[in-house]
Amino acid sequence: MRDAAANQTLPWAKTGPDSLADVLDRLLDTGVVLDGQIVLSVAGVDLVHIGLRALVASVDSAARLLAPLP
Amino acid sequence: MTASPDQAWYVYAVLPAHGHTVPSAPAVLAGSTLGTIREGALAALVSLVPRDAFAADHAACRAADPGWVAACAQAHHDVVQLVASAGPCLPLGFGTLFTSDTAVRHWLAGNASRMLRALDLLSDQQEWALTLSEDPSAHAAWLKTHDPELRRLAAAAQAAPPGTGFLLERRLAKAIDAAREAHGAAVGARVLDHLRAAHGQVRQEATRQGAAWSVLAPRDSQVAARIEAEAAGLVAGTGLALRLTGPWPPYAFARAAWAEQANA
Repeated sequence: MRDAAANQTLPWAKTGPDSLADVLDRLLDTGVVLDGQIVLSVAGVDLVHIGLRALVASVDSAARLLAPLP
Repeated sequence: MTASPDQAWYVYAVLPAHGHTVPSAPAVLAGSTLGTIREGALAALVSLVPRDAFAADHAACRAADPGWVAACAQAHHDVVQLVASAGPCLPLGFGTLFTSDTAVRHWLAGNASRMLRALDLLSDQQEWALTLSEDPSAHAAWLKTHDPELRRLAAAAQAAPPGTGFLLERRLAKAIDAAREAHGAAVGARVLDHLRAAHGQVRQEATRQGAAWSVLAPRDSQVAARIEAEAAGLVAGTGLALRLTGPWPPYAFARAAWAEQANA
């Protein structure tokens, strides 16, 4: 996995990487589960309803936990 | 294998039924294994998991535990990354579960044509993510130097007597906030135009952190180097920053396919 910010050669790349944070951002922040589309689309075929509110809260918490310490 | 009432099928991705290999990787939960459920020309890459870990109304639900979510999401990504590197793949977001293999087959059968079309579109493609973010104080400093109206207000505030200067500083602060928003939006629009013109398939994402785009490009293309080279001039020295990550499995473009399915 390439991270443009990691090689420090780009004046326009701002911060150091956190690959786990990137993964969570990619998978959760804009994910199908969070925007509910997949839940709506398959609710009629017996989807287990993941706790959306709980998951959103956990993502917020995860983001805080992953933030670099001051 | 059939799910018992306290189990569910966790679905990572949809693949063509033939020509793929189940990756050798840890499943989303320890103790689970990877497998496929096939229906016609499609297969769902799945693991059998305890349902209660994901069910919001159950005491054993772990979805509110950040450490658990982070570890599971990483495992989900590792599996999807492996399978996407080997062939066409429609990845799902974290936490998609079905109560039975029949439900999975029903879902695959009912959406087969759309899923096959999306798999064809994403074949041999990778996704790159570009994010625009802001250092507010650096951005404000750049604007105070480059925006004539802000320069004039700043000079007037500095030259004014204390009471007037205080009020002008308040006006300046509001004007800077408005200018930051307007300039950020203008740069975002330029980035989007640029990506669309140069790289074709682009999706704009809404994030909490700022503007973001996903670019779909053929595997092994030099798209990252081109984006780096071309985008640098759009934000250099402004207090705005562009950050590129990837290649990713096609999460954003698969999401568009799921949305199309949901809206059909």
